[in-house]
Amino acid sequence: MAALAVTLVTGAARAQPGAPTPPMITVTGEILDTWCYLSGVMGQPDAVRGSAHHTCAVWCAAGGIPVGLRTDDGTLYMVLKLEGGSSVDGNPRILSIQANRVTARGQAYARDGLNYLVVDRVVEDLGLVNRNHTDFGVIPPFAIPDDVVERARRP
Amino acid sequence: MKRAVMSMRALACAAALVLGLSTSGQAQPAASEATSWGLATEQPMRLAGTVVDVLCTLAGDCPAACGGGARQLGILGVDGRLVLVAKNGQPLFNGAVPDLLPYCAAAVETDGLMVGEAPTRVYILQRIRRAGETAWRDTERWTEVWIAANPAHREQVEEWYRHDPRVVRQIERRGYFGLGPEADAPFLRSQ
Repeated sequence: MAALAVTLVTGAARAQPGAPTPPMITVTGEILDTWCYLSGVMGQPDAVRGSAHHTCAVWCAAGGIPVGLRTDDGTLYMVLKLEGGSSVDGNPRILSIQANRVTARGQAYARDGLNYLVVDRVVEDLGLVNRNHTDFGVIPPFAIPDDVVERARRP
Repeated sequence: MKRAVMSMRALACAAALVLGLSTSGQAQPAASEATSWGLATEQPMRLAGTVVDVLCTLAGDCPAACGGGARQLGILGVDGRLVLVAKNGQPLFNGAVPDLLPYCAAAVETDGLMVGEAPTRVYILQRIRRAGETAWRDTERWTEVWIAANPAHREQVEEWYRHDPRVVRQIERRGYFGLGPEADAPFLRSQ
């Protein structure tokens, strides 16, 4: 009976054949770390994007935390794949575009409050445009090790 | 047809009973014992459901074993809601995939925190157990998976994020602000 119960539950876990093909969309926005952005663990949303948060975003992406693409209207897409690579297996491509502004084409899904994007192609990578470290400094402050700061200060 | 529908209902009820669920399809209310992280939007939440590969659930793109660690995973609740698990219970930039992967396609109970402004919410997975088990497992498997992948850096695991070769390469190439190493210098000198 337990096996039957598990089968009944897991049977719903896979998208059904014949389900409508989701739309292919092209969106432009900033690649960000969804954990810090949604949780507020490191402060206000504007501070956990852009150059201020670049290093932390690389850390979180390397740690396998979902990467997002935030469009200018504030819509957040959870990136599940990027140009065939995974968003959780240390895909160098996804690490290399953290905090960048990109235009991406892919299939969009929406379920239970979240938007998801399977990026077929990064159409354009504009690099890091949001230079907000001039406003917020580095978030979190320990993102740059003390010894690096000390070396930079030496004449 | 009517008999078939009734049979399906009977099966669903039986399954729900085995899993300790109510016949309405909702998990029996269980008090969350999640640890607060002091986050403004956190909501302690216990979930009952199945560990799933999110992309498989959304698109029917289903590699074996939930992708073997290469896919974002979630909990498909017994109420049909899909919850994306963004974080495990460790405090240092650790995702939850290593803690969920051993339970791929298994019925589980979890305890943790939902965070974010509704409806855009994700889950911090603090504890997990198979349905019917009594003992919880804390979610800290990320560390052993990282050490296995980076044995040369075993002694540096407490600050893995400074020593992970993938991170080091990015910082060397793009600097701390992502603008190139040369762009870091003026800021660092001003500190």
